[in-house]
Amino acid sequence: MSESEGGAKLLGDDGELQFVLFEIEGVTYGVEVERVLEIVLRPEVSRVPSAVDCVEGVINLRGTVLPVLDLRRRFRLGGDAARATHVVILQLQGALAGISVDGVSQVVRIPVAAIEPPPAAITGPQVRYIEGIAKLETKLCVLLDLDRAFDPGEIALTAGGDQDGR
Amino acid sequence: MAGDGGWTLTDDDRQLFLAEAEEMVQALEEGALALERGGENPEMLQAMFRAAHTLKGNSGLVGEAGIAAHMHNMEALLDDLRGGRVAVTPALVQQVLSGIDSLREMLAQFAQGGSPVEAAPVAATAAPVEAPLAAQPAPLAPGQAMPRYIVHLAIDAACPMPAVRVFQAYQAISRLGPLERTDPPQEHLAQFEGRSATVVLRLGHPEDVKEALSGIDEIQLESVQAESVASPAATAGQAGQAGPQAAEAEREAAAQTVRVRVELLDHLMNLVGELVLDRTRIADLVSRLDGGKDQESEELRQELSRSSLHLGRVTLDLQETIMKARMLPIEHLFRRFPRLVRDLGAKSGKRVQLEIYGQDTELDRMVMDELGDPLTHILRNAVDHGIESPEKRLAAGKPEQGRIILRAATEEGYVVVDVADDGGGIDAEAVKRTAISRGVLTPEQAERLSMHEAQELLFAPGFSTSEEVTEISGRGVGLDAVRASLERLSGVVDLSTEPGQGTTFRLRIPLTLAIMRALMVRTGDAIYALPLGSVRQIVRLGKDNVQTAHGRPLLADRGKLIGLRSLAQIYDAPDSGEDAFAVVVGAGDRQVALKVAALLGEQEIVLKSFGDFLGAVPGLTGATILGNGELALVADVRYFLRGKEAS
Repeated sequence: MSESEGGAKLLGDDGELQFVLFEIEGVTYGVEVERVLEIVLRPEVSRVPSAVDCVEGVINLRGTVLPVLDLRRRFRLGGDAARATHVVILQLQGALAGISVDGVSQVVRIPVAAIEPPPAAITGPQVRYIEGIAKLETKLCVLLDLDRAFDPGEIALTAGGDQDGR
Repeated sequence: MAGDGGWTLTDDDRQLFLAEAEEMVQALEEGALALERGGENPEMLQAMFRAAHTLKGNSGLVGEAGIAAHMHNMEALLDDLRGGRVAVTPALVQQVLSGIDSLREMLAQFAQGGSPVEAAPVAATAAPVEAPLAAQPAPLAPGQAMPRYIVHLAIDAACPMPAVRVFQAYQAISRLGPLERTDPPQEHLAQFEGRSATVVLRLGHPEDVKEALSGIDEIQLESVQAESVASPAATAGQAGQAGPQAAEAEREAAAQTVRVRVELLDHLMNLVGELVLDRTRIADLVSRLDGGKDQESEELRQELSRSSLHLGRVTLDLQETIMKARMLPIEHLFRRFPRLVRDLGAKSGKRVQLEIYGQDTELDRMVMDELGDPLTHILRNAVDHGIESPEKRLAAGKPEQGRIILRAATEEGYVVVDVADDGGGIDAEAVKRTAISRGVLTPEQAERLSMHEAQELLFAPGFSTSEEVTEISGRGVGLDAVRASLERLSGVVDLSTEPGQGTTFRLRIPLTLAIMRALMVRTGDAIYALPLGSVRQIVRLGKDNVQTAHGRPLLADRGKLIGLRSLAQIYDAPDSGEDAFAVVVGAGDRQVALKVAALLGEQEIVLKSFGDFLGAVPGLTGATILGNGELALVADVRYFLRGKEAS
């Protein structure tokens, strides 16, 4: 749903899409600029117990309590969320949430022509949630379908696989 | 909101109209039910009339001609009631109530589709209101050209059979035109013993009335008044004085009220939270300012310090005021119940009187919304299954009419709502039999069950939804749902029953979900808030009061053993092993001791949800923001009382 609608809406005059880029564990990811509300310096995250595994905790964003999600845990990337420097606040599943990131680069325009389907070489839980790979001048950028990645059903599905893998 | 050459109705307009309409409907309904009880008074009728009138005007404004026409008819009827030209009869009350029902349907249509309400069905439902006295010949269409007159007749004191004379008078006057209304009504004339009568009709030549009555003895024509705005007040006597003043006060009160969405208040609350944080930061900076270097900087520092203190007080005040703005008198919830109980009673052939107390008890708006369904459920149970049939009641030596008391009161941060009926009570044995037949209990277990435990069965999930239970025990439809609703509100529901005497349900709900007093504790790296309402005592942990039984730690306190759990472990947090205190928390007859590292004192907290993405987190009711901007998690004590460790 979000792919077609969101994609069409984001399509610029010259066939470009706008993405906010951020880094986690050395990989550059991109999300549609329209779903991002703001980027804040990572505040102290209060751990929330017994919530789904990929929820790191909650933060206080000017008086509103928001969950912070951890892509590291969601995609089993390894590493430590404490290394994150920023939190990207965005619309997710119709609600507000934050994602801990190691660093934020700028907003970029990516020509649709530069977006390719994920290569078969990429494996792991995250492959289901990759909309495409964009070739930027110096690096590759993974474009994520976050609504799908944090769909409760999908979380249950991949979390189950998680345990089998251990 | 007016567009280019046209009126466009925004969503806000519609909402406002509907919200106000709902208030008017409530006022009308309350009035109608009061009339039914015989509690009519001039102010009440005046209020009903005003409600109908306002709604008529509003309907016109939003372009709902159908509703406006309906309200016009109701207004006319109420005007006659107010002017004493129509007598209150059960049929008339029913007409007003049906009129209100059709109004509700029209409003629902408007709320749903937004399309203009069809005029035809409205006219059909409005008809009974238009012709309040069914026995009257051919009611006149509104807008008839001739003016309406009120004819007052006096009957001689010595007249032995006033009914006959009045009948003759009605006959004579009716030759001038159809009688719109008469008091006494014609169908009740046989028993009439009064000394005055009133006739309302449209007349071309009012002077004809005297002529028409000239042949009738023992009856005098007192007056023929053109119906005017002034006459109803004059006829209503006392209302003539009280009415305008009351109306004035009402208008003033209305002018000082605005509607605010709860989300807006929530937002304001968050902003105030921000202010509090900034205030704390400023205070911190002031304390670090090195005054005393010279006279001038010292004065500035003191000035800043005073301003900072003042800012703190104002912020606190602001916070409290916004909290108060969320509170409403519980009347807003209760006022739908008289009609509910009346209709339920009528349906089941029982006579039930609902008495309401403590209507001005204030409660958070959100809590009130959540409380509607469970209370409706309990009242429904009370009428359907609590109150016995009139025959049974008489046989048991009780008054034929059953009583249900609905009472609200404030009690230390809680609102307590009682629903008490004087019905047959709950038969614990019947409940046990049902539990056995459903395999919930063995007969041996049932034997050992206390009265209280048997009642608790009624709240068990699934237990009560069965038809069987309803028939046998006569109680318990969906009480598990009631308990679940209450738990969502961090409230409790209990019942006490006395066979043959009645049943009382007691609901205890926190005054507001948004603000509560809590004991702040630290364990591991996290701070938790324990709602003060559930904290029973605090004990310092030592060698002598911690024991182990069957591998489970227990706290020995004054000869009693209480299950002891680590708060950190409950929340899957690392246990630092430095826990020095146990906080005993409980609800009802269950309690558990929680190990914590440090006690941080008691404080008022503002409860925040985790947001839509996380939704409900088991074991936590939400989070709260501390003075330094950090978050503390608010424990849902009920959650860990369910565990086996609780005793």
